[in-house]
Amino acid sequence: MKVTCNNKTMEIEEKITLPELLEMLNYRKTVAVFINGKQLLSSQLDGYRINEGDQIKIIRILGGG
Amino acid sequence: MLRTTQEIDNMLKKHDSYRNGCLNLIASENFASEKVRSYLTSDFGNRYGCYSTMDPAEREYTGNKFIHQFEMEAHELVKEIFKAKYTDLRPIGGHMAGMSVVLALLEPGDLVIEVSLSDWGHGLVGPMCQVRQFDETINVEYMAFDENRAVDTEKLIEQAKRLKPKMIIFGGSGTLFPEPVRELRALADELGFHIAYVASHVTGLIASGIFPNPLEEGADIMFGSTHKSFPGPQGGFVVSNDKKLMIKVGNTLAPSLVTSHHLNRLPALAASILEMKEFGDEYGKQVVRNSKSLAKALAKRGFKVLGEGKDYTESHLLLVDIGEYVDFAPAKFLEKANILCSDDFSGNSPEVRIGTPESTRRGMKEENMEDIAEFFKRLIIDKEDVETVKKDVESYARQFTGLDYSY
Repeated sequence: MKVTCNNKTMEIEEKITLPELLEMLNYRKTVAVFINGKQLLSSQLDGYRINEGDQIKIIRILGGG
Repeated sequence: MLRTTQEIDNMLKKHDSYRNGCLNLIASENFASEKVRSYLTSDFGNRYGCYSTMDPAEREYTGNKFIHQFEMEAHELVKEIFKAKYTDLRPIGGHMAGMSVVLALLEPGDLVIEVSLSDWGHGLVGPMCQVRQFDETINVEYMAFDENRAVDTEKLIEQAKRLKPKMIIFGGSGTLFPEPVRELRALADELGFHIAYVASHVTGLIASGIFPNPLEEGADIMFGSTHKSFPGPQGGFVVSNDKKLMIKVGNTLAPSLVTSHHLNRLPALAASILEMKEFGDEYGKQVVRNSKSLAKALAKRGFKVLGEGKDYTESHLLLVDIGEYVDFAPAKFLEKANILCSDDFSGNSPEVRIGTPESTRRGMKEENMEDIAEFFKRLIIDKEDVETVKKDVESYARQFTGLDYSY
Protein backbone atom coordinates (compact mmCIF):
# COMPACT_ATOMS: atom_id res chain seq x y z
CA MET A 1 0.00 0.00 0.00
CA LYS A 2 1.03 3.62 -0.52
CA VAL A 3 1.71 6.09 2.29
CA THR A 4 3.49 9.41 2.51
CA CYS A 5 6.35 9.57 4.97
CA ASN A 6 8.19 12.84 5.52
CA ASN A 7 6.88 14.21 2.23
CA LYS A 8 7.98 11.15 0.23
CA THR A 9 5.58 8.61 -1.22
CA MET A 10 6.55 5.07 -0.37
CA GLU A 11 5.18 1.58 -0.87
CA ILE A 12 4.98 -0.55 2.26
CA GLU A 13 3.51 -3.91 3.17
CA GLU A 14 -0.06 -4.03 4.39
CA LYS A 15 -0.74 -4.45 8.12
CA ILE A 16 2.64 -3.01 9.06
CA THR A 17 2.77 -1.42 12.52
CA LEU A 18 4.39 1.87 13.38
CA PRO A 19 7.26 0.29 15.38
CA GLU A 20 7.97 -1.94 12.37
CA LEU A 21 8.02 1.08 10.07
CA LEU A 22 10.36 2.96 12.42
CA GLU A 23 12.70 -0.02 12.52
CA MET A 24 12.57 -0.34 8.74
CA LEU A 25 13.56 3.32 8.38
CA ASN A 26 16.28 3.05 11.05
CA TYR A 27 14.61 5.36 13.56
CA ARG A 28 14.84 4.86 17.28
CA LYS A 29 11.58 4.93 19.20
CA THR A 30 12.42 8.31 20.76
CA VAL A 31 10.84 10.20 17.91
CA ALA A 32 7.66 12.22 17.63
CA VAL A 33 5.23 10.77 15.11
CA PHE A 34 2.40 12.67 13.49
CA ILE A 35 -0.25 10.73 11.53
CA ASN A 36 -2.42 12.86 9.27
CA GLY A 37 -1.40 15.95 11.20
CA LYS A 38 -2.07 14.64 14.70
CA GLN A 39 0.73 13.72 17.09
CA LEU A 40 0.47 10.22 18.55
CA LEU A 41 0.71 9.80 22.29
CA SER A 42 3.33 7.40 23.57
CA SER A 43 0.60 4.96 24.56
CA GLN A 44 -0.62 4.91 20.94
CA LEU A 45 2.75 4.26 19.29
CA ASP A 46 3.16 0.54 19.88
CA GLY A 47 -0.21 -0.58 18.65
CA TYR A 48 -0.65 1.78 15.74
CA ARG A 49 -1.23 0.01 12.44
CA ILE A 50 -0.42 2.06 9.33
CA ASN A 51 -3.33 2.60 6.95
CA GLU A 52 -3.41 3.11 3.20
CA GLY A 53 -2.81 6.76 2.36
CA ASP A 54 -1.58 7.79 5.83
CA GLN A 55 0.43 11.00 5.89
CA ILE A 56 3.25 10.18 8.29
CA LYS A 57 5.70 12.65 9.73
CA ILE A 58 8.56 11.35 11.84
CA ILE A 59 10.58 13.91 13.77
CA ARG A 60 13.76 13.18 15.61
CA ILE A 61 13.98 15.27 18.77
CA LEU A 62 16.97 17.59 18.96
CA GLY A 63 18.15 17.79 22.56
CA GLY A 64 20.11 20.64 24.05
CA GLY A 65 18.14 22.42 26.75
CA MET B 1 39.34 2.29 29.60
CA LEU B 2 41.11 5.28 31.09
CA ARG B 3 43.93 4.25 33.46
CA THR B 4 45.79 7.46 34.32
CA THR B 5 45.05 11.17 34.57
CA GLN B 6 47.64 11.64 31.84
CA GLU B 7 45.31 9.77 29.51
CA ILE B 8 42.47 12.07 30.55
CA ASP B 9 44.67 15.10 29.84
CA ASN B 10 45.66 13.75 26.45
CA MET B 11 42.08 13.13 25.42
CA LEU B 12 41.01 16.62 26.45
CA LYS B 13 43.95 18.09 24.52
CA LYS B 14 42.87 16.15 21.45
CA HIS B 15 39.36 17.50 21.85
CA ASP B 16 40.57 21.10 22.19
CA SER B 17 42.86 20.80 19.18
CA TYR B 18 40.10 19.21 17.08
CA ARG B 19 37.53 21.86 18.03
CA ASN B 20 40.00 24.68 17.30
CA GLY B 21 40.23 23.28 13.78
CA CYS B 22 36.44 23.29 13.34
CA LEU B 23 34.14 26.09 12.29
CA ASN B 24 31.56 25.92 15.06
CA LEU B 25 28.29 27.19 13.66
CA ILE B 26 26.06 25.35 16.14
CA ALA B 27 23.55 27.99 17.23
CA SER B 28 23.05 26.43 20.65
CA GLU B 29 26.71 26.52 21.65
CA ASN B 30 29.10 29.28 22.57
CA PHE B 31 32.64 29.76 23.80
CA ALA B 32 32.87 30.87 27.43
CA SER B 33 35.94 32.87 28.42
CA GLU B 34 38.78 31.38 30.44
CA LYS B 35 37.71 33.59 33.35
CA VAL B 36 34.17 32.18 33.26
CA ARG B 37 35.45 28.62 32.87
CA SER B 38 37.87 29.01 35.78
CA TYR B 39 35.01 29.52 38.25
CA LEU B 40 33.54 26.11 37.47
CA THR B 41 36.27 24.50 39.57
CA SER B 42 35.46 26.42 42.76
CA ASP B 43 34.59 24.66 46.01
CA PHE B 44 30.94 25.44 45.36
CA GLY B 45 30.97 22.44 43.04
CA ASN B 46 31.30 20.09 45.99
CA ARG B 47 28.56 21.57 48.16
CA TYR B 48 24.80 21.30 48.49
CA GLY B 49 22.76 24.47 48.65
CA CYS B 50 19.22 23.11 48.74
CA TYR B 51 16.58 25.47 50.06
CA SER B 52 12.82 25.86 50.28
CA THR B 53 11.46 28.22 47.69
CA MET B 54 10.43 31.16 49.81
CA ASP B 55 13.12 30.78 52.41
CA PRO B 56 16.54 30.52 50.75
CA ALA B 57 18.30 31.74 53.88
CA GLU B 58 17.29 28.52 55.62
CA ARG B 59 19.49 26.09 53.70
CA GLU B 60 18.91 22.43 54.35
CA TYR B 61 22.67 21.78 54.65
CA THR B 62 25.10 23.54 56.98
CA GLY B 63 28.21 25.43 55.90
CA ASN B 64 26.39 27.58 53.36
CA LYS B 65 26.94 31.05 54.82
CA PHE B 66 28.81 32.41 51.80
CA ILE B 67 27.07 30.19 49.27
CA HIS B 68 23.78 31.78 50.31
CA GLN B 69 25.24 35.26 50.10
CA PHE B 70 26.67 34.52 46.66
CA GLU B 71 23.50 33.02 45.28
CA MET B 72 21.46 36.03 46.38
CA GLU B 73 24.03 38.37 44.77
CA ALA B 74 23.82 36.31 41.58
CA HIS B 75 20.02 36.67 41.69
CA GLU B 76 20.46 40.46 41.70
CA LEU B 77 22.63 40.30 38.57
CA VAL B 78 20.15 38.07 36.74
CA LYS B 79 17.20 40.25 37.74
CA GLU B 80 19.02 43.35 36.57
CA ILE B 81 20.10 42.00 33.19
CA PHE B 82 16.66 40.54 32.38
CA LYS B 83 14.73 43.41 34.01
CA ALA B 84 12.80 41.03 36.27
CA LYS B 85 11.65 41.21 39.87
CA TYR B 86 12.12 37.52 40.64
CA THR B 87 14.41 34.73 39.52
CA ASP B 88 15.13 31.11 40.28
CA LEU B 89 18.54 29.75 39.29
CA ARG B 90 18.03 26.19 40.44
CA PRO B 91 17.25 24.66 37.02
CA ILE B 92 20.50 23.14 35.80
CA GLY B 93 19.45 23.50 32.16
CA GLY B 94 16.91 25.25 29.99
CA HIS B 95 14.78 22.16 29.51
CA MET B 96 14.45 21.65 33.26
CA ALA B 97 13.52 25.32 33.59
CA GLY B 98 10.78 24.80 31.02
CA MET B 99 9.50 21.64 32.65
CA SER B 100 9.24 23.45 35.96
CA VAL B 101 7.13 26.21 34.37
CA VAL B 102 4.84 23.80 32.51
CA LEU B 103 4.32 21.49 35.47
CA ALA B 104 3.89 24.36 37.93
CA LEU B 105 1.41 26.48 36.02
CA LEU B 106 -0.74 23.92 34.22
CA GLU B 107 -3.32 21.43 35.43
CA PRO B 108 -3.89 17.98 33.93
CA GLY B 109 -5.92 18.32 30.74
CA ASP B 110 -4.87 21.93 30.09
CA LEU B 111 -4.03 22.96 26.55
CA VAL B 112 -0.76 24.58 25.51
CA ILE B 113 0.03 26.23 22.18
CA GLU B 114 3.76 26.09 21.45
CA VAL B 115 6.15 25.95 18.49
CA SER B 116 6.10 22.56 16.79
CA LEU B 117 9.21 20.44 16.45
CA SER B 118 8.46 20.73 12.72
CA ASP B 119 9.14 24.45 12.98
CA TRP B 120 12.28 24.17 15.07
CA GLY B 121 10.36 24.21 18.32
CA HIS B 122 12.22 23.40 21.50
CA GLY B 123 9.85 20.54 21.90
CA LEU B 124 8.99 21.33 25.47
CA VAL B 125 5.48 19.97 25.82
CA GLY B 126 5.34 18.01 22.54
CA PRO B 127 8.01 15.50 23.58
CA MET B 128 6.23 15.00 26.88
CA CYS B 129 3.77 13.03 24.75
CA GLN B 130 6.60 10.50 24.36
CA VAL B 131 6.59 9.80 28.11
CA ARG B 132 3.64 7.73 29.23
CA GLN B 133 3.21 9.53 32.56
CA PHE B 134 2.74 12.82 30.76
CA ASP B 135 1.16 11.97 27.46
CA GLU B 136 -2.46 12.43 28.40
CA THR B 137 -2.02 15.05 31.09
CA ILE B 138 -1.16 18.11 29.00
CA ASN B 139 -2.55 18.71 25.54
CA VAL B 140 -0.58 20.55 22.91
CA GLU B 141 -1.35 22.41 19.69
CA TYR B 142 1.13 24.24 17.51
CA MET B 143 1.27 27.83 16.26
CA ALA B 144 1.59 28.57 12.55
CA PHE B 145 4.46 30.35 10.82
CA ASP B 146 4.25 32.57 7.76
CA GLU B 147 6.26 32.38 4.52
CA ASN B 148 9.14 34.23 6.17
CA ARG B 149 9.41 31.89 9.12
CA ALA B 150 7.89 34.41 11.53
CA VAL B 151 4.97 33.50 13.81
CA ASP B 152 1.69 34.16 11.97
CA THR B 153 0.08 36.56 14.43
CA GLU B 154 -3.40 36.60 12.90
CA LYS B 155 -3.63 32.83 12.81
CA LEU B 156 -2.35 32.57 16.37
CA ILE B 157 -4.96 35.02 17.65
CA GLU B 158 -7.69 33.10 15.84
CA GLN B 159 -6.33 29.80 17.18
CA ALA B 160 -6.21 31.11 20.75
CA LYS B 161 -9.78 32.44 20.56
CA ARG B 162 -10.98 29.13 19.17
CA LEU B 163 -9.06 26.73 21.42
CA LYS B 164 -8.81 28.80 24.63
CA PRO B 165 -5.41 27.50 25.78
CA LYS B 166 -4.11 27.87 29.31
CA MET B 167 -0.66 28.82 28.09
CA ILE B 168 1.10 30.00 24.94
CA ILE B 169 4.82 29.29 24.86
CA PHE B 170 6.79 31.44 22.45
CA GLY B 171 10.34 30.75 21.34
CA GLY B 172 12.16 27.89 19.71
CA SER B 173 15.52 26.68 18.53
CA GLY B 174 15.08 28.22 15.08
CA THR B 175 13.97 31.71 16.10
CA LEU B 176 14.68 34.19 13.32
CA PHE B 177 12.47 37.09 14.36
CA PRO B 178 10.86 38.50 17.53
CA GLU B 179 7.53 36.89 18.40
CA PRO B 180 4.19 38.73 18.80
CA VAL B 181 4.17 38.74 22.61
CA ARG B 182 2.86 42.30 22.82
CA GLU B 183 0.11 41.51 20.31
CA LEU B 184 -1.18 38.58 22.41
CA ARG B 185 -1.09 40.30 25.82
CA ALA B 186 -4.60 41.78 25.74
CA LEU B 187 -6.09 38.48 24.57
CA ALA B 188 -4.22 36.63 27.34
CA ASP B 189 -5.84 38.93 29.90
CA GLU B 190 -9.25 38.53 28.29
CA LEU B 191 -9.15 34.73 28.02
CA GLY B 192 -7.01 34.08 31.08
CA PHE B 193 -3.99 32.25 29.65
CA HIS B 194 -0.34 32.65 30.56
CA ILE B 195 2.29 33.80 28.07
CA ALA B 196 5.57 32.00 28.61
CA TYR B 197 8.74 32.56 26.64
CA VAL B 198 11.51 30.04 26.00
CA ALA B 199 14.45 32.40 25.76
CA SER B 200 17.18 29.76 25.59
CA HIS B 201 18.39 30.63 22.11
CA VAL B 202 18.08 34.39 22.30
CA THR B 203 19.05 34.88 25.96
CA GLY B 204 22.30 36.59 24.99
CA LEU B 205 20.56 38.90 22.55
CA ILE B 206 17.91 39.82 25.12
CA ALA B 207 20.63 40.51 27.70
CA SER B 208 22.48 42.67 25.20
CA GLY B 209 19.33 44.64 24.37
CA ILE B 210 19.39 43.66 20.68
CA PHE B 211 16.30 41.43 20.89
CA PRO B 212 13.05 42.53 22.59
CA ASN B 213 12.80 41.54 26.24
CA PRO B 214 9.67 39.33 26.42
CA LEU B 215 8.94 40.40 30.00
CA GLU B 216 8.79 44.01 28.87
CA GLU B 217 6.62 42.96 25.93
CA GLY B 218 4.08 41.32 28.23
CA ALA B 219 5.21 37.73 28.89
CA ASP B 220 4.24 36.41 32.32
CA ILE B 221 7.33 34.29 32.67
CA MET B 222 10.58 33.67 30.80
CA PHE B 223 12.98 30.78 31.12
CA GLY B 224 15.92 29.30 29.29
CA SER B 225 19.56 28.37 29.31
CA THR B 226 22.67 30.44 29.85
CA HIS B 227 25.00 29.01 27.24
CA LYS B 228 23.64 29.53 23.73
CA SER B 229 23.74 33.10 22.44
CA PHE B 230 24.48 33.94 26.10
CA PRO B 231 28.17 33.03 26.59
CA GLY B 232 27.93 31.62 30.09
CA PRO B 233 28.32 28.19 31.68
CA GLN B 234 25.73 25.51 30.93
CA GLY B 235 22.72 26.13 33.15
CA GLY B 236 19.14 27.33 33.36
CA PHE B 237 17.06 30.13 34.80
CA VAL B 238 13.47 31.30 35.29
CA VAL B 239 12.51 34.97 35.66
CA SER B 240 9.19 36.74 36.15
CA ASN B 241 7.61 39.82 37.65
CA ASP B 242 4.84 37.71 39.17
CA LYS B 243 5.68 36.42 42.65
CA LYS B 244 2.80 33.93 42.74
CA LEU B 245 4.01 32.25 39.56
CA MET B 246 7.56 32.06 40.85
CA ILE B 247 6.42 30.43 44.09
CA LYS B 248 4.66 27.74 42.07
CA VAL B 249 7.71 27.24 39.85
CA GLY B 250 10.08 27.08 42.80
CA ASN B 251 7.92 24.56 44.63
CA THR B 252 7.85 22.42 41.49
CA LEU B 253 11.58 22.60 41.00
CA ALA B 254 12.45 21.53 44.52
CA PRO B 255 12.26 18.93 45.77
CA SER B 256 10.72 17.24 42.70
CA LEU B 257 12.96 18.15 39.75
CA VAL B 258 16.23 19.26 41.33
CA THR B 259 17.74 18.99 44.77
CA SER B 260 21.36 19.68 43.84
CA HIS B 261 21.48 22.76 41.67
CA HIS B 262 25.18 22.57 40.77
CA LEU B 263 26.39 25.61 42.65
CA ASN B 264 29.69 25.85 40.80
CA ARG B 265 27.93 27.35 37.79
CA LEU B 266 26.77 30.37 39.83
CA PRO B 267 30.16 32.19 40.04
CA ALA B 268 30.72 31.38 36.36
CA LEU B 269 27.26 32.72 35.50
CA ALA B 270 27.91 35.87 37.53
CA ALA B 271 31.19 36.45 35.67
CA SER B 272 29.52 35.97 32.29
CA ILE B 273 26.79 38.47 33.24
CA LEU B 274 29.48 41.00 34.19
CA GLU B 275 31.08 40.38 30.77
CA MET B 276 27.74 40.93 29.07
CA LYS B 277 27.13 44.13 31.01
CA GLU B 278 30.44 45.44 29.70
CA PHE B 279 30.59 43.96 26.18
CA GLY B 280 27.06 42.69 25.49
CA ASP B 281 25.86 45.58 23.35
CA GLU B 282 28.82 45.32 20.97
CA TYR B 283 28.69 41.50 20.95
CA GLY B 284 24.94 41.30 20.25
CA LYS B 285 25.11 43.78 17.39
CA GLN B 286 28.00 41.90 15.77
CA VAL B 287 26.22 38.55 16.13
CA VAL B 288 23.19 39.84 14.23
CA ARG B 289 25.36 41.60 11.63
CA ASN B 290 27.22 38.33 11.06
CA SER B 291 23.97 36.34 10.77
CA LYS B 292 22.58 38.74 8.17
CA SER B 293 25.89 38.83 6.28
CA LEU B 294 26.13 35.05 6.18
CA ALA B 295 22.52 34.77 5.03
CA LYS B 296 23.14 37.20 2.19
CA ALA B 297 26.43 35.55 1.24
CA LEU B 298 24.73 32.15 1.02
CA ALA B 299 21.77 33.54 -0.94
CA LYS B 300 24.19 35.20 -3.37
CA ARG B 301 25.72 31.78 -4.02
CA GLY B 302 22.40 30.18 -4.86
CA PHE B 303 21.21 28.85 -1.51
CA LYS B 304 17.58 29.17 -0.46
CA VAL B 305 17.89 31.06 2.81
CA LEU B 306 14.61 31.32 4.72
CA GLY B 307 13.14 34.64 5.83
CA GLU B 308 14.20 36.50 2.69
CA GLY B 309 11.20 38.82 2.84
CA LYS B 310 12.28 40.07 6.26
CA ASP B 311 16.02 40.42 5.59
CA TYR B 312 16.57 36.77 6.61
CA THR B 313 17.07 37.08 10.36
CA GLU B 314 17.15 39.31 13.42
CA SER B 315 18.85 36.73 15.61
CA HIS B 316 22.00 34.68 16.08
CA LEU B 317 20.98 32.08 13.49
CA LEU B 318 19.78 31.49 9.97
CA LEU B 319 17.95 28.61 8.32
CA VAL B 320 18.86 27.29 4.90
CA ASP B 321 16.78 24.88 2.83
CA ILE B 322 19.25 22.81 0.83
CA GLY B 323 16.73 20.36 -0.59
CA GLU B 324 17.55 21.55 -4.08
CA TYR B 325 21.05 20.12 -3.76
CA VAL B 326 20.88 17.15 -1.38
CA ASP B 327 18.23 14.74 -0.14
CA PHE B 328 19.78 13.94 3.24
CA ALA B 329 20.24 15.68 6.58
CA PRO B 330 23.57 17.42 6.03
CA ALA B 331 25.13 17.97 9.46
CA LYS B 332 27.07 14.69 9.59
CA PHE B 333 28.30 15.30 6.05
CA LEU B 334 29.45 18.84 6.88
CA GLU B 335 31.13 17.52 10.02
CA LYS B 336 33.48 15.53 7.77
CA ALA B 337 34.73 18.88 6.52
CA ASN B 338 35.04 20.25 10.08
CA ILE B 339 31.96 22.45 9.74
CA LEU B 340 29.65 22.02 12.73
CA CYS B 341 25.97 22.99 12.52
CA SER B 342 22.58 21.40 13.12
CA ASP B 343 20.16 19.37 11.05
CA ASP B 344 16.50 20.03 10.83
CA PHE B 345 14.73 16.97 12.22
CA SER B 346 11.30 17.95 10.97
CA GLY B 347 11.17 15.49 8.15
CA ASN B 348 10.59 18.36 5.72
CA SER B 349 13.00 19.32 2.97
CA PRO B 350 16.56 19.19 4.39
CA GLU B 351 17.21 22.37 6.32
CA VAL B 352 20.34 23.34 8.11
CA ARG B 353 20.56 25.71 11.07
CA ILE B 354 23.63 27.91 11.14
CA GLY B 355 24.51 30.00 14.18
CA THR B 356 27.00 32.83 14.59
CA PRO B 357 27.58 33.29 18.37
CA GLU B 358 30.80 31.31 18.69
CA SER B 359 32.37 32.49 15.43
CA THR B 360 31.61 36.06 16.51
CA ARG B 361 33.22 35.53 19.90
CA ARG B 362 36.28 34.03 18.20
CA GLY B 363 36.73 37.23 16.18
CA MET B 364 34.89 36.80 12.89
CA LYS B 365 33.25 39.77 11.22
CA GLU B 366 31.03 40.36 8.16
CA GLU B 367 33.82 39.72 5.63
CA ASN B 368 34.49 36.30 7.14
CA MET B 369 30.90 35.30 6.46
CA GLU B 370 31.70 35.39 2.72
CA ASP B 371 34.45 32.83 3.31
CA ILE B 372 32.12 30.59 5.31
CA ALA B 373 29.45 30.79 2.62
CA GLU B 374 32.04 29.77 0.05
CA PHE B 375 32.89 26.62 2.06
CA PHE B 376 29.21 25.66 2.03
CA LYS B 377 29.01 26.25 -1.72
CA ARG B 378 32.10 24.13 -2.41
CA LEU B 379 30.69 21.24 -0.40
CA ILE B 380 26.99 21.31 -1.21
CA ILE B 381 26.61 22.95 -4.61
CA ASP B 382 29.98 22.27 -6.27
CA LYS B 383 30.31 18.81 -4.62
CA GLU B 384 34.03 19.38 -4.19
CA ASP B 385 36.10 16.67 -2.51
CA VAL B 386 35.39 16.76 1.23
CA GLU B 387 39.00 16.15 2.28
CA THR B 388 40.19 19.11 0.18
CA VAL B 389 37.62 21.45 1.70
CA LYS B 390 38.33 20.10 5.18
CA LYS B 391 41.99 21.15 4.94
CA ASP B 392 40.96 24.67 3.99
CA VAL B 393 38.31 24.86 6.71
CA GLU B 394 40.76 23.66 9.33
CA SER B 395 43.49 26.14 8.44
CA TYR B 396 40.86 28.90 8.30
CA ALA B 397 39.36 28.03 11.70
CA ARG B 398 42.78 27.98 13.35
CA GLN B 399 43.15 31.68 12.50
CA PHE B 400 40.30 32.42 14.93
CA THR B 401 41.25 31.01 18.30
CA GLY B 402 41.18 34.31 20.18
CA LEU B 403 38.24 35.59 22.18
CA ASP B 404 36.47 38.95 21.95
CA TYR B 405 33.82 40.55 24.16
CA SER B 406 35.27 39.02 27.32
CA TYR B 407 37.64 39.66 30.20
